[in-house]
Amino acid sequence: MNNWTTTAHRTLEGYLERNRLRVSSCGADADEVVADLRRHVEQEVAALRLPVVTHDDVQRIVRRIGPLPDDEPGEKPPPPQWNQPKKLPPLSTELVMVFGIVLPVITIAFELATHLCAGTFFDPLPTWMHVLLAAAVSAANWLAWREVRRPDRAVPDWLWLGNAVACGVSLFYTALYLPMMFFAVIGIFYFGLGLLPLAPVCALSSALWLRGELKRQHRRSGKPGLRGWGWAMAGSLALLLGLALPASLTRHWIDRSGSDSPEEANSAIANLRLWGSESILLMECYGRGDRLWIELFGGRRPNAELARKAYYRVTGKPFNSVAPPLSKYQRAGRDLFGEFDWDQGLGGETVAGQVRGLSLAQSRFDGMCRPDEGWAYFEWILEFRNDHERSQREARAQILLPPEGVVSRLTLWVNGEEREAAFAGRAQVREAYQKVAVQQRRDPVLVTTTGPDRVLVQCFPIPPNGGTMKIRLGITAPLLVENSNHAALKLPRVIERNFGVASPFRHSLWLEAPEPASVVLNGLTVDRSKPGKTGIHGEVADAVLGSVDVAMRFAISPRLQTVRALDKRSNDGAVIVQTLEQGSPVFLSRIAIVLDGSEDMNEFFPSVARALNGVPAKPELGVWLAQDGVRQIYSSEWRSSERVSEIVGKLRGVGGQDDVPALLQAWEWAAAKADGTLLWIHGPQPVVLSGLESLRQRLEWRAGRDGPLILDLATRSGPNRITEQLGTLDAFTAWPRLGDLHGDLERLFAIWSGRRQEYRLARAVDREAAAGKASATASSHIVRLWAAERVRALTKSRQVAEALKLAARYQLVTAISGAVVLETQQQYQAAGLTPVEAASVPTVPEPGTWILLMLGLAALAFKWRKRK
Amino acid sequence: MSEFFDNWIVQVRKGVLELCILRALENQERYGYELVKTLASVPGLALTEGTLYPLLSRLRVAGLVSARLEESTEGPARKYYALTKEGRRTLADMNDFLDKLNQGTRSLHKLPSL
Repeated sequence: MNNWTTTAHRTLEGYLERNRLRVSSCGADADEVVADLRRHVEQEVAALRLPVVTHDDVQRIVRRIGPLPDDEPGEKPPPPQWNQPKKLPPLSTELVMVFGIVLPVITIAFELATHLCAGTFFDPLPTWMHVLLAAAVSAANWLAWREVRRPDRAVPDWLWLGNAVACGVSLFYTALYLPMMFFAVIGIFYFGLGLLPLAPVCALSSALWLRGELKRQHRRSGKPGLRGWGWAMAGSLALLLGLALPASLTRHWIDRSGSDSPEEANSAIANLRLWGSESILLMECYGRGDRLWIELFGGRRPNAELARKAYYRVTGKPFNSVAPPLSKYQRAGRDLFGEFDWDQGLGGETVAGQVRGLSLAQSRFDGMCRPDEGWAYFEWILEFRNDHERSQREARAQILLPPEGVVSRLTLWVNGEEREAAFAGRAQVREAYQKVAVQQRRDPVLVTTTGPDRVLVQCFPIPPNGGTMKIRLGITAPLLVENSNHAALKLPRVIERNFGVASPFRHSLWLEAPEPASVVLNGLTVDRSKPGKTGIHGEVADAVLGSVDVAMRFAISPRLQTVRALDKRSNDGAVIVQTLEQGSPVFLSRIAIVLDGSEDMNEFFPSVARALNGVPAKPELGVWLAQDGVRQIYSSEWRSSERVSEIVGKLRGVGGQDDVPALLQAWEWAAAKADGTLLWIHGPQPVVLSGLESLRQRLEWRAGRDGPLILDLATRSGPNRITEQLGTLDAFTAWPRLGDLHGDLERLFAIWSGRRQEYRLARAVDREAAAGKASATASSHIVRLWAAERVRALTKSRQVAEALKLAARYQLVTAISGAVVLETQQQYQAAGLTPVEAASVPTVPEPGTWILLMLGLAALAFKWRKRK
Repeated sequence: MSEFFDNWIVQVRKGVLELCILRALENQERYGYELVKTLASVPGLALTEGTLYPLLSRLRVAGLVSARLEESTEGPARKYYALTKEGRRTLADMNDFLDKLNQGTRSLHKLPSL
């Protein structure tokens, strides 16, 4: 290693600088020649083995190198200082600092804080790896910027490769933002805004400029050439493309999942299950696809409906059971742009996705249960709260009523006053609701059915910034007689909602019954302080209320055998008689069982398998599995050594499945013989994956007793779009869930086998009216339950006008009627509706009870005064 | 020597310098320092490093030679030069041309007198 004196350095640099000027005009690369000459001088010095290299040594060498016209002492231009920073055009370095370093940093920070681009166009930073790579551009540019301002020296490899990564990443983002750049430029010219979308191209230009500077500097150093730039840039591009690959493939497979070819669609779903990105899928479900290019330049738009079906088939969950994909961004500046958070289901007939800011603030049940008369009545008060900053919200919920229950009252609080509903035809009340709610944005609430034992409740508008809306649902339901000693009571519950529920959320419940309950829900206390009354009250966790197998049980009174109620709404004052009947023995020829092959069923297959040991032996048995198509897995006609319980026990559910094809095949088989029955065991069916017309046609042609009985057994609480859409046919009979799945199936198979008696409460008009009126002391709820049954029967026999009249008269929400509360009398008049009289609605306690109480109190007061 | 002859020599040297470089690289790649020493030993050529390096750079820019750096244990890194395919073709053309030119000039004194 030689030691160079400062003057030796100056001499060499002066020589090289002059040589640069000389060769720059002769077609050679001046930087290269200078580097070569420097290397040559160093080789000469090394060959001479000089311990100290002086000015004279350098002079000697350079004189030998060649005569240079300007190489005379005294005529030299001032030589560059060895430690002086190389002179770069000052504007370039400042521009690089502003546009290549600071602007990208600001852009990344802004996007991370607001998610403006993610919420509006596409998400440029979907993962932390993207954030890291984007930040690396600024970091690499900054390091390179520092380097080129330093004196000539060899550029480290890592800096050179860092520049390559910066170029690769900024090239990727430049291509991504290309469609927006045009608008950004216009925005800058006209509005002075729009610089951020230009950050990638600015960063790319800076990185390329820095690359040139680094290269020149390194050449001047005379060190071996820098290598690997191309590979590093290609690697960073490949990494980003690799990160984008799951999203692209996911979208490709979503599109293919809608193919007409079942093989292609199933293959796409299989790929999505294995390789697809769930978050991208969810984003597509909410209509937030990253398809900016397609949006701008045409092509196929994101198909939210297809994505929702695919999401269900892949995950087994309905898309709206998961928070919208941008909810994680709510903390920061995302709220500034809350107006982008639209409610796609406003005023519609489906619950749709959850909306931001809306929650259930309070829930209160007040109820009466009469095991001696076989009915229960609940008033469910729900208060919704909207914490969104500026958007009004509509609360929508699908509520599962107790089996054969019916909504018999609907109230809305308007400015603190209670307003009762008008009951009328389904289309009429919906039209009134949409007119008042969606167009006039006033205060209505609507309840319509969405299938057997299900209603859709919707109310709008709930004002923003903590505004609330309070409604009350009155629900009349029969008790389910399990055996000669007990009847079960199911509580209504929300099975699908577009609002949030705090965790843990508790519903306040107060239920009164004349007799103590034998089984009550967890968290409730039993109060027997009042003679002849049992109060059951407390707080019920939302999870308990929402579980499918929860029921309270009451002892049956002997009075239940026959009770009579006066029908005050009939023209002739008819009496409705209710009798407890024992079901006649069931003779089935065929039992078809359809098993939902969804992932959700995994925990239930063992219970089903165990219960199948008790399936009646005599009828023919066929079992179908709905899993990526349909497959018959068992037939009693097959000579199989494996028992049905063994086969079912081995099943594994996957994703969410389309049960309709399996229902069709099983129905065909069950309908081929008289007295066939079909048992459908399934999880939630939040998405209809295939057309229902084939099934509807069969059910219409073979309605009622002509066709096989279809028993619908839900393993878990959740929406069922199939029964919703076929609800008016009344073709499905829900098998009530009173305990665990195994127990409920055993109960069913025991009834089919004749090992167990079935009980039911039958209601009819008492033809012997004179004899009945005297004893018609039972509650009007029995009349409502009879009317609801009658409406169903009339609807089934296509006497819709008659059924509608009956539903309106008895103030019931049925498959053909609904209830709506409007804000003003003028709105009712404009819609051709009449709200019900306040005195005609059911209450808790019942009016009769109030009168008795008042009479009792009056008697006590009279007695007390008399004693005085 | 006369000034005329000196100028003529300069012209001739200038004309054959590129050819000499390409010929020096025809059979093996050489690093710059070595190349200079090799060419400097050619009598009459009187090539200096200050002339050689710009020429090498020009030839590289023209795609006739390629260059690569290699670390050396004996001092600074060495820059090796080699002929490219294009360089070989050009060298062949130049050789042909020079041969023909030589033959032509030599044949001039054999011409019969007028």
